[in-house]
Amino acid sequence: MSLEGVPVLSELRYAELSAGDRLGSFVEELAPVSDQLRGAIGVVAEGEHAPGGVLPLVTLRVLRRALRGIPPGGVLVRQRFTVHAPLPAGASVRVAVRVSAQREAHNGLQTTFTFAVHQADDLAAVVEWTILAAPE
Amino acid sequence: MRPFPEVVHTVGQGAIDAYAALSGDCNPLHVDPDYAAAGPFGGVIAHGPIALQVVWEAVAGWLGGSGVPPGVCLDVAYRAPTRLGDTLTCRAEPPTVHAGDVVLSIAVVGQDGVEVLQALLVVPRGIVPPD
Repeated sequence: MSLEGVPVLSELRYAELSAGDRLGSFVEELAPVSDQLRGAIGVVAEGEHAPGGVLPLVTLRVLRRALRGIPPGGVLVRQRFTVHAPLPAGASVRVAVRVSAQREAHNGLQTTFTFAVHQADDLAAVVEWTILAAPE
Repeated sequence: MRPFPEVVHTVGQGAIDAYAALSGDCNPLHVDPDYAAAGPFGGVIAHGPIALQVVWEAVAGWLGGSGVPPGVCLDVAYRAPTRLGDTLTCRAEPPTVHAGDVVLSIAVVGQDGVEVLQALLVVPRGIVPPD
């Protein structure tokens, strides 16, 4: 889905989110990005399945849509990807987002997002969690 | 067991701009050199997952195929920003076997030896190709 009309930077602060918040789901098409993430970024190489690099990229797109932009100042701290099924390179996926946890840490407020990436047949293909720190 | 390949990429502005266009994350810290020069890093930094790209490429080269097979789990801790022009190298420690899975400890380091990220890769033993 196009990001047209979605601000680049969000006016939302991570502190305004709460553990348990559910956002979406959002539909994303993998065809425009799959073949540009198999090696050097932006260099086209064809393949049957979506490469791993698609996973953090799609969730970044979804985060922008979920939060009406990316809140400025956030630092990517940690990510975990668990793959349950291969994703076709041209798949249409539905991504549900949940704010799983928040805690104060040495580098600011850490917010954990869980992304459940579903295929069209509604199977959970990938579960990803991402921790972002927001220095105050 | 097939050895885990070493993958090296140099991160140029072209890759950062391409990632911004694909991801929709056009934060000026990534795409505006003048803005970034006045920011906390003193210059352009890459999107965090760009540093992970060498890991995904190495995993694909190790396991073969064009995607990520079921059962694979990758846990990533980001340690330092990737700056424009950094050359990133992905390499792994020798694999171990734990509870039927192959486990690899992976690091991505810059040209100055700074560790940009650490990752733990867990793969079902049956899908790792023989040497």
